[in-house]
Amino acid sequence: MTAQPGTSAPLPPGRAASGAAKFVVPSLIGALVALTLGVYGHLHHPTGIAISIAGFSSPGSVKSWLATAAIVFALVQVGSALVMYGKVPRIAAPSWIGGLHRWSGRIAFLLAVPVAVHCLYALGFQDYSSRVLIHSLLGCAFFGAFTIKMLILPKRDLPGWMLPTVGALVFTALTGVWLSSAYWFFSTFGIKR
Amino acid sequence: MKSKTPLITLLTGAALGVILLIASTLTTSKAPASGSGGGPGTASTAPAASGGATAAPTNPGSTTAAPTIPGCTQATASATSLSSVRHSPVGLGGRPFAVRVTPDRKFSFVTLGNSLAVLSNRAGQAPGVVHTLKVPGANKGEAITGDGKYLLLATGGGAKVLSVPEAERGNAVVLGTLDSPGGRGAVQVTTSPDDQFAFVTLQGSGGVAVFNLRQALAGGFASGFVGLVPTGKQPVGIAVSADRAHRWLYVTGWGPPGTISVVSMHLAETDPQKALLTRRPRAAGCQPSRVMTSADGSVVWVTAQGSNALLAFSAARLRTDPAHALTALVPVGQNPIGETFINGSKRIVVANSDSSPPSLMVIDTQKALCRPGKAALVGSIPTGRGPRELDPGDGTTLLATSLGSGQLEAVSISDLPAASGGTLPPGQCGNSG
Repeated sequence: MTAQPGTSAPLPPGRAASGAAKFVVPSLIGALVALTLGVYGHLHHPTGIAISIAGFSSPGSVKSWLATAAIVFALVQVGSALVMYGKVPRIAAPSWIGGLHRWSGRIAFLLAVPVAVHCLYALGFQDYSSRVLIHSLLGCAFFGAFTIKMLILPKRDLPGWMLPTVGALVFTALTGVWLSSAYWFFSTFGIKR
Repeated sequence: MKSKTPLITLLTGAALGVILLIASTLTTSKAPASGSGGGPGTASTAPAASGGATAAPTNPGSTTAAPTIPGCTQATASATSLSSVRHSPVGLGGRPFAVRVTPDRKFSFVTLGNSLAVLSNRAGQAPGVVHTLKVPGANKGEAITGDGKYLLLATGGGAKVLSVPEAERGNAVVLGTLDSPGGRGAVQVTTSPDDQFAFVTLQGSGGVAVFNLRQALAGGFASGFVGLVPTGKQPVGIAVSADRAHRWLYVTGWGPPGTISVVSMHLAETDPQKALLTRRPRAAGCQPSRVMTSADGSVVWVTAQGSNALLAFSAARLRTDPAHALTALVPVGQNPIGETFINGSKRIVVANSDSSPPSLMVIDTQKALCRPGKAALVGSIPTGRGPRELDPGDGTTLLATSLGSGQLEAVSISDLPAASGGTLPPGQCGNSG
């Protein structure tokens, strides 16, 4: 989630195929990451516990709050991206917007990692309800999409639409993950357990 | 340099994930505390047991043999009679089964069959009956939520939920019933530490029914059943791990064969069908009845009714190395059922439900782990017929139901001989209670 505007300018027609080709390897790696996480979560017998974080009433509470924090930083990412790309009328991109965009993405990602570890280690890839199956699939997809985005970020000759599209996919996956877990958790058990 | 930052972010996240995964692996594989082992054990022998109940030394890591899971036996242990300990019977009538003291220690509730006795507690004295409420089905275990608002009575396929303040005022206000589809044979009930969920052992249904108590209360009991944890044959006893995170539920299966199951609290609340961590039942002696854990959650204490023994299991090994989970065996009287800690967990009291003369047996917790066998027995306290369940009360007066004599026994804990906590090297056998 560290988009850098200006690095994805429109390409001459002759270079589009080459740019698309450069998207294939990151995509394959991202797919492999998502698949690996899903297979691990499916094969690993859930332990019910993982390393815990003090100060919360339950693992569900920890994960819900971490995921919520991640989604807040992800919203900052989206907002700052829109400003950087000039999509917000009457707001000029300040000099610090790039840093805000990069760091909000990094923080969102790092907040999501402990949640994913707990999910995969303690609970595994589950499919006992539609919500849980969607959550499991989107969780794996998020890390796969994020990997793709990180790998294509440094590439200079990609089509201009590619980075925003992948970024949107990452954000959509994270939002789906949050809706199917933290939102469900808070609406079922309440904010304060 | 700038172009490398996405890769650094990715690798940082991956490294964090690997570190957390390793930490989680270590968390789940190592013992949560060294409480159940470490010191040298000394051999001792249980009473001659037809089922091969041999007690032995107890500490994992000791050089002597570990105790073996006891079979069924008629042999019992005897202990010095603590006749100087004051105990006052309170006549209740009916068949007193379970007793629970409210969190504020002001009242006690006793299930009598189809009624509920409400007693007013008095410091250092026997409680007095203030109300007897008609509550059909109030004949098994009970639990009071941590906020002191709700009393849960195990019955049928779940539990009845009563208002505690109303019961204290003499009104049997049943707010609703937690019920599981087809469930039957409710024996014990407990709640999650946050009072969100209730767990009921269903002896007739082979599992633990999980209820979202808060949801049931908010929705007029129209919903609330979460699912059934399939623990196996005849689940009776249940306890929430007393460790800080309250990660586990321990459930005894009366059998045969007698078993103990470990249930993930988190999975029980979200996916009960998959919450059983012990895929195969762990043997826990003959007719294991009640279960409780030490304050740090490292030791799981089980009364084995048909083995006439109190068993101590390493909580960690129940999950990781069940064949070596039994760390101590203390022979007690006939058919032990109820158990509780007293004296700041330095002592354990067991209700010998079928002993003659009827008695409660007092056990030194640390000796039970370090020098198991009869050496751990402090003495026995005479009580009414058929002592069943116990509650440590306010810490000065132990309450015990006597099912056969229709009484509640109030035992003065301060009259017990001083605990011998200092006779063993500190920490050698760990924190047992």
